[in-house]
Amino acid sequence: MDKKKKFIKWLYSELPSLISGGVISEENARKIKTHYGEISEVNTGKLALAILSVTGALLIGGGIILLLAHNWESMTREYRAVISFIPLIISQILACYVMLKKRESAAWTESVATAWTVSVIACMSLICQTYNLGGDFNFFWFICIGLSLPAVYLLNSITACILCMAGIIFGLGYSRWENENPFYFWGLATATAPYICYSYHKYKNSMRNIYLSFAVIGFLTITAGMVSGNGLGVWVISFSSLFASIYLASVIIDNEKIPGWVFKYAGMTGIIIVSVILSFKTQWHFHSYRSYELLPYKELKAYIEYAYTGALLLFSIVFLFRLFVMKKYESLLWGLSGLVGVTAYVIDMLSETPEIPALMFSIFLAALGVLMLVRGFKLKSIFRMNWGIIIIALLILMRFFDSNIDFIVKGLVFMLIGIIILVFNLFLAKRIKAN
Amino acid sequence: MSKKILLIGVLAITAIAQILIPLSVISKWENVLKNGVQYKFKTAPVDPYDAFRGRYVALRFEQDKIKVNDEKKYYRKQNIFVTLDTDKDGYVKLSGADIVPPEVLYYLKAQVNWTNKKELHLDYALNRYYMNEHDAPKAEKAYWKNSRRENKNAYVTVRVLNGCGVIEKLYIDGKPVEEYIKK
Repeated sequence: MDKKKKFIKWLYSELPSLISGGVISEENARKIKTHYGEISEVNTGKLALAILSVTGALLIGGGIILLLAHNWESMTREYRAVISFIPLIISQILACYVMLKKRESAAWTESVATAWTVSVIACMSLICQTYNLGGDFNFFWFICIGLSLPAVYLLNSITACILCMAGIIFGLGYSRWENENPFYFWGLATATAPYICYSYHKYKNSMRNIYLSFAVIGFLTITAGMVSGNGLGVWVISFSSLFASIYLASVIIDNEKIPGWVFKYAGMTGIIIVSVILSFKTQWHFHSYRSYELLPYKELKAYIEYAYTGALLLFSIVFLFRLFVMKKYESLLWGLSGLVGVTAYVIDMLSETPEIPALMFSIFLAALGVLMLVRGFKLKSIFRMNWGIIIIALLILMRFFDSNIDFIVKGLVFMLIGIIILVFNLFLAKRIKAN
Repeated sequence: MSKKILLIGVLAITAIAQILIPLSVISKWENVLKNGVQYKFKTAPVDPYDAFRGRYVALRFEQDKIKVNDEKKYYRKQNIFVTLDTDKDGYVKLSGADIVPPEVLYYLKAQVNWTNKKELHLDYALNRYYMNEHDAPKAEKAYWKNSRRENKNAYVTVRVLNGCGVIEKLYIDGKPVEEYIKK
């Protein structure tokens, strides 16, 4: 727990004696609590128990299936069909027990929900094996995930939610690989959204929301990658808008607290990576419509990509506007990534000159680096200053890769930048200590 | 309390759905296996690449194409219904194809894989014969040996009813594959 949290905890423990001593009124105590908000408690004991329970549930489920599979070949078709339901029925009975008696226990809810999800998939898989079902895997997987999804809501389980999200990613990937209709899985993804919103709303600063945040960021990044590659290079817009939206959402949620913190650093890292990639002019040579004549850019899958990109861009603009209204101007520059992406894209389309959009992203990166340095100096934060130095150093190094300079010179520049970063940090550390 | 009752009600509906959906699949296939007509499909070599292989024998059939008058009205992944007949050796023969189900009981639903010179190449979704991981590689080798042009000695029995087809057994050299790999 950091110093600020410790202080707030101490302050809250002092409030009753301050009220009884007449130092502050009850109204003032309430206002103090509203101002500082809830203290996020990360209970590592409970967390470890939940993780162990989930692992145990998975091992027991796997063990049951392996035991059943041992004599599988010698059983009749009817026996096999009946046995396929056993893990599922046990999980359903356990789910009922948890709902009635153990709803507040994270270890019980998470482990039973995991076992339930796995047993639904196992039941369907065993039946399909018994009857040699091949072919329409897309539909089979949709049924499996669709039947597993209620466990998320009924047991309020984040593990089941993450498993379903992983299943949806797998389904979307398979649909893309096999050129099948992916709409079923987008429907399932939409069905998980209310639970994610509920979890963020109800368990504001909890550990479970950190896991959920990683899963949501992973899901959005992977699906953005999955839908891309069909339309006219609009991935440039989708990825720059995606990370801008993730960063801006963190500022709106309050990025000093979890899970906003996860969104903040994921967004910043994503923006830097995408901007570095797009600061190479070769990327724009490839992305321009001249290279896309052979792609299905007028087919349904391309329209899905356009819709996904449009939605992400719209989110980033709405969030940007919200930030403007909230007067959080210092965070606006990071959030401009999506708009820089769409402007660079349009300029490249119109001018067919890849140097201009690449230069735009170089300038954007330089501005981010300078902003972080200035804010770091202002707040005396070595962490922020290092972000600034790393961004500027990355920009210089990438431009070196872009040029035809000798390897020895490139190596020397690498070392020089490393030395500058170390010396700069030593200097700052001493100065801050002296102050 | 009322919230708890509601949640238990939803759980009960979910549990019933989770059992009924697989049961409906079982009852449909059991009906085909009990009341369907048996056809013998001669096997063909399979494209060796499949990411999920290991616990089943991948199947392909010789009888997976049919001549049509106008191949332009068909497209990839389109559902199609084929009527079946038997040749002089007892193997299945495709007698017709249409985009609407025929008014007979014994036809098979398929998907158009691709079209070529007034010929439709079909996918029946009957492409896996599951075995345990110990036997599946041996069975696959045997399948390969007996599905080549110079040694066509493998076939699959499929029960067919109302468009649905369920694999019964894979036979190699006249024996069920489970027996064949034990010899």
